[in-house]
Amino acid sequence: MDVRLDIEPIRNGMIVKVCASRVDAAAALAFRDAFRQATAGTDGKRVILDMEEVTFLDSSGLGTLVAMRKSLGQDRQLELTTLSPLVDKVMRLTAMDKVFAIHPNRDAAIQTQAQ
Amino acid sequence: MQVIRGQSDMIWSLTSHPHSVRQALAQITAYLRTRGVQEAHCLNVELVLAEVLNNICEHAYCGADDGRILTSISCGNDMVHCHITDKGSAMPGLMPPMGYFRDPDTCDFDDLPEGGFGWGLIRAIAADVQYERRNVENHLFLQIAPESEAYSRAVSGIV
Repeated sequence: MDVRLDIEPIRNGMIVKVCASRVDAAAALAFRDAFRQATAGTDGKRVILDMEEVTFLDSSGLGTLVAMRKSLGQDRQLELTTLSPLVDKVMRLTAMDKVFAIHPNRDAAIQTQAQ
Repeated sequence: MQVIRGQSDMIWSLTSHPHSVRQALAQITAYLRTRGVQEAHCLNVELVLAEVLNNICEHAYCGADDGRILTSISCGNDMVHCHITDKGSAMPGLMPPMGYFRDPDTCDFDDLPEGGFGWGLIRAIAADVQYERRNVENHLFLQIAPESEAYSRAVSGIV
């Protein structure tokens, strides 16, 4: 199951758009591999995952997000933007919304950087 | 995957493989929409079933991808009723896990949980969960309400 990631460099990091509607058990490994390739050799402080296209996230997908967060290390940030209602619910129910900075949309995420 | 139409419910017969699970979930959600179940309610059902079916694949069938799973769905009294059966290992202690979420504020960075969210999500969203071991079969009965009290409690703070 392929997961395509579109990368856009920004000051201090990159925006990674997840081009998949489901981040679930079937997609988790491919998602993690694609993210590893996208971030390999980069050192920008911020990695912003644009989740606009993701309508479904299960616990496997959430575990993958946490693993990706840890893979960046504590000196870098993994931020999330444009969560669908279900993805937002999963983040809040599991309290994992405390682990990621969450932005309402892409513009807000970029403006946060500008401040 | 087979779909069997019963008098009052539909039964999906699938295998313990992530792609079979994904396919069944898509069909179940599409079916619920045709029954007039509201979108947020459909998503709640899909998420709970995803967690249950993934757990059966991983734990009851220990990752073997040819285990048989039957998922029966019916709608009534505003509830979606699910009955899931498999022939894998019994649940430890013959009880479904309570499920709880660790507060990430009390975790070291390296110890942030990368799993173990499944039963917490099932318990938070499902209005009722019953489990029985019958001979070599696991039977799980779930009721999912449009907006369960359990969900409202959970969103107000960590359990």
